[in-house]
Amino acid sequence: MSLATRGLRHGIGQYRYPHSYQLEGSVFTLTVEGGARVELAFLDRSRMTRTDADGGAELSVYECLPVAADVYFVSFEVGNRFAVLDLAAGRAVLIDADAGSHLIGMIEGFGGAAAGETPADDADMSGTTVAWVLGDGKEVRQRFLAPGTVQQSWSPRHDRAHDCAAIEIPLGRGLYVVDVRGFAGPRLDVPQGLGRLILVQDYERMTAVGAVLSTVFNERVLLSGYGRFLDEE
Amino acid sequence: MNLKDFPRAGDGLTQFAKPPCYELEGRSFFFVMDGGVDYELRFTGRATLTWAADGTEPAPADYDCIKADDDTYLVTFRVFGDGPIACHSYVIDLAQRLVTRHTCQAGGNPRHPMLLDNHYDFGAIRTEGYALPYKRHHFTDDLLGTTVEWHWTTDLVSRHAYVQTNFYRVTWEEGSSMEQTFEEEFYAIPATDELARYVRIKEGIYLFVVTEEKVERILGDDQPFRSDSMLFIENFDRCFHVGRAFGAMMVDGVPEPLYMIYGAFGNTLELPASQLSEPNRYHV
Repeated sequence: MSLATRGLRHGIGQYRYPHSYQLEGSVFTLTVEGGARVELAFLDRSRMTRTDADGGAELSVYECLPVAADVYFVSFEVGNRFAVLDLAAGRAVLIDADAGSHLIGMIEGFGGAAAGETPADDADMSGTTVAWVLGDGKEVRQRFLAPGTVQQSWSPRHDRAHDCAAIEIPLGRGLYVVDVRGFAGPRLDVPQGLGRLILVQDYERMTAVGAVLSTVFNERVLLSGYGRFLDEE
Repeated sequence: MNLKDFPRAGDGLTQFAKPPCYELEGRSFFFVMDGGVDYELRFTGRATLTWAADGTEPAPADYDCIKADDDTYLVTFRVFGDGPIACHSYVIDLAQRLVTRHTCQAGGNPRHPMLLDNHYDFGAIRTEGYALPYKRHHFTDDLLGTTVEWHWTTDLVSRHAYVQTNFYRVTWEEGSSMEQTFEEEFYAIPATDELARYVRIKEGIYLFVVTEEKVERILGDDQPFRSDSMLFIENFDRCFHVGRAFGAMMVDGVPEPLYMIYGAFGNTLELPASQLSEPNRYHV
């Protein structure tokens, strides 16, 4: 039997990168839009605390995946929260999928990014159609129709594309956070109901890292994969 | 700016390399090796270390580290001295406290001075409070019968068939970028079988090392790459690989050192029976 079939059981999570333990022992202070401060303290390989400006602290299990050199995608078990930490640029994006909020912040002591500011050299994503291959034959296709709107379909039913609300946040150096409120119906490669897709897309390497999740089922699958532009085919 | 206009970082084999890993910074490892010479690695920085055979002075080197799974690290670095450059690679398996050491260096064959000599050694990681494990990573035939398609870049796709315990066969889709890139070389040799070794690291994870020796012996100067060592850790649980290439490539007719970190995503592949059953042309 071919060993290449061994990973099929992971479905769309098949290509997920190994976890990164780089953040273990690190404490980051973020200044987000409006001047509020958030502290993320990574206690060990799996536990972290988030302390907000009002002093409220929350302990959570976390998983961290590397995106690129010094860029990390962090999934917090509590509250469907995620963080993208770009230590190279000193920029962070805090995503609360339940609340639908996206806070852009600067990381004190790293790079020169300013809170709430995105890079000026961001590309217009509109008109781009890209497939992100996340497992063996399993992919999501995204067509960026206009800022805030992505037409999205999951394998194997690319005939069932849906226009979805989306948020695109450029990080610079070809990196974008793309959060799509999508649709995950039956008989798709994405587990049914896990319609929310958050990807950090690296257009310099054509790779992506992120998660697909359901805020009501409280389930998520962490993802990695590679991309290709479809209109080049 | 259009998204397609971003410079495609690492065009060639490096595009899908996994992000670098800096987790070992500040750590030290003492490897007790079956070959009888033990080694110590001290990770002094994100990309710098010292290495030493036990009882010798530590030597500095610049290293690359990539993870093959949560607790398996590929650490690789070049060693510069008076002779040809050597490449030392370690598969550091923290879950099992085991290590595989692979070294290669040219210069051992007077007729083909660019041929790389490979050396493998297996051992255990000395860990305070724990006995040294008796188990070892080991050469294996587990991969025989496996065929897999590796996506190295958006365009470059190779097909591997693991056909024998000391050879592998590389093929490609007709008309593909792979064929266009290497067509001249592939059609100048009698077969694309090449020398390879397979080492079992753990369930689903293997060290796979190809040395492009047959093509070096046959084509010599008439090829772009020279006796390259391509070292992979293949993670079949996730179907990706990480690795490094070491050797030389021809630049304006002169061999220049080659060293790169690469990676690829894989998928299942059904190869025609004829491609699998074809005998190894290099065997009697």
